[in-house]
Amino acid sequence: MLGRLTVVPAITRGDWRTRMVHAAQICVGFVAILGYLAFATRSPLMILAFASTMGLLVVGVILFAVVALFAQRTLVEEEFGQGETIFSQGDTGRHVYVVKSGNVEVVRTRADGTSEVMGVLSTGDHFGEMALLGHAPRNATVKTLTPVRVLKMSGGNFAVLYTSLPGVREQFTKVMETRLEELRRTESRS
Amino acid sequence: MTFVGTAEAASATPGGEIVRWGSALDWAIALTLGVSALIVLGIVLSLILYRGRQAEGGALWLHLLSLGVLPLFLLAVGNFATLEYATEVQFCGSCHLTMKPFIDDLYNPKSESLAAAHAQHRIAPGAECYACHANYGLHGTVEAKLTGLRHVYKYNTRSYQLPLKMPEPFENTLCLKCHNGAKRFMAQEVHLDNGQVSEELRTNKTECVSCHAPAHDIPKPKKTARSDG
Repeated sequence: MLGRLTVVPAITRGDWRTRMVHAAQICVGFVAILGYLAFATRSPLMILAFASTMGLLVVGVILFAVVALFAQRTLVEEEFGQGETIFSQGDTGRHVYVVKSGNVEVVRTRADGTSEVMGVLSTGDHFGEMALLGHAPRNATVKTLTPVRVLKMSGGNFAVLYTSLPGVREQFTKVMETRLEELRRTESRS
Repeated sequence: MTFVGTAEAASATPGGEIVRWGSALDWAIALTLGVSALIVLGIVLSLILYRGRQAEGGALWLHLLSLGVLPLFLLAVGNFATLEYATEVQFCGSCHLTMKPFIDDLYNPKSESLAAAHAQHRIAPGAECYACHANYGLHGTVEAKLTGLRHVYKYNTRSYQLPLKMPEPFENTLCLKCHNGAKRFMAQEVHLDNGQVSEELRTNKTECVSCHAPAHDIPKPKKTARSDG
């Protein structure tokens, strides 16, 4: 299973696949609106504009094809600068991250508004799996302490790994139990 | 029998009866409109239903339609609709400031011009301009489309000059592509040398319109560099 996963470099910071889908939507949507208006109004100028921009349809299809090819079986490498937030407490969890280089801190904000650093993660550590496995919002904010490279895995891929590889499941379960315990302690202290 | 002196008349028979819907162009336009609307609907739906999850799971199936299959279909039907629609008299006639007199002439029952004779004998219903002003074959079509693009540009930037003039003499081959070999044409000795189209006609030394004038019978426009509204 792991052999079929591909690491693709970060094209831009953030989810580049979503950006590519948006770019495809803009290209295709623009031409579709132009096509509709051109033949609804039968305006020669609009028809000319439609004919001239039809190449954007191909651009849109290619962008979507790239996203579709890389959507399922990929680890996406992303870069973050120092002090950036990778995700925030309360966000919907859709990805699991593995730190490739650099350090991140996990910060939990309590109900009374006070914050506590729950831990610092470095190369090889993973985070973000609790929201996926618990189907709950992110229970902490993850910020970078140094420039960081992470490998980002979609929830679907993580589910495949988690269910089909007992070793991986065991490792994640062990780490998750430790973190849950830590979380309970943090809550009880407040 | 009356002819309506507007571009819209191109879609009507001389008796006024509207041609039944269902030509290839009608279908292409309807499909272009339908597919364009479906694509926009698909994009809007995906933005609402899969907000923030555009590159994942179910969204990709919706994208497969709105960003994959339908755009390729639109590319095909849109191209066909555009190319076909650009052969219609109503397309040429839509530049009403410059083309209206020519279109009026087509359907004027009193006109003795070649264009009117061809149009009123329904030689190329709906595509009268294109039938005479596009060379034979694919090359002629492409050339006609490029010329059309230049015309649309000049019209919309008002960079044309009145009266309109042919950029080059009208080639006899544009007449001969239909008339060569026609019974009535071949019956006229003046057209022939040893049973073939004469050298004079083939090389444009004698233009068809020098005997068969006028090509168009239009009122003389005022000389002006540009025209407003």
